[in-house]
Amino acid sequence: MIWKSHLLSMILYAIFVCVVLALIRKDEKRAQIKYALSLFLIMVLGAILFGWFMYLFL
Amino acid sequence: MVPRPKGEESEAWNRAAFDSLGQKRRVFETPSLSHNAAFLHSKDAFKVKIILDLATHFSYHVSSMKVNFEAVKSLALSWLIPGLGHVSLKKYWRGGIFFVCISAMSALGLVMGGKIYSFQTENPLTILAFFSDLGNGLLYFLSKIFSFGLGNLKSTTFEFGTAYIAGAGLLNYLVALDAFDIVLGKKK
Repeated sequence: MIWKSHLLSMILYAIFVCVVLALIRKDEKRAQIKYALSLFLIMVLGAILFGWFMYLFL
Repeated sequence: MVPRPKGEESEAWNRAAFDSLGQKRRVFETPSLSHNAAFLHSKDAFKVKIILDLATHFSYHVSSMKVNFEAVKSLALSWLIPGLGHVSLKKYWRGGIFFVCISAMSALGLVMGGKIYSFQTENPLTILAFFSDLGNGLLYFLSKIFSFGLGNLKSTTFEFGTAYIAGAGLLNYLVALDAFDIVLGKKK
């Protein structure tokens, strides 16, 4: 079975979502890239931070 | 019906009636009628004004129906196959990227052993999953016809696969609405 790593699966998921949302929300190429990168960082870093936050309650 | 004025007011009323038709007036009104002062004084001006009003409104509704039909067609195409609505609007690059991303998400979700939910009321939460999966359009119906996407609960990637398929469906709804808005002129 592919991608047993949840982190890798989550990063790939974030890439697809960022690309589609950037194309929908922004019209100019520069704005699209900026929006996609910021969204990607928020999704990935947010998930990692939230994961560590949940680890505190184990 | 508004009573038709008489005397000197009649001429001013006729002119105002014709001027109020705006741009559409040029389409339906012939120069010989609009520039003929004698005609503006005649009783037929009122009847012509009514006819022009009706024609204007009719053409407006027909044109708006056409726009709405085009918008709904793009929406439906985009829903059935991701990006097809944009391709039909000659936005090939954008449509292609949408197709690749959303199809890849759906395919990966299926490979990971994700489940495509049917409509059922036993577990109300799965109704939300059903509407998400329905966003995949043609893939959803194919999965029901050819019985794939049943979900592999033993797989460690089952949850992620299901999330991939649901996410692809939700993104496809947004893409379809984007194509709809482009036809209506709300977006580029």
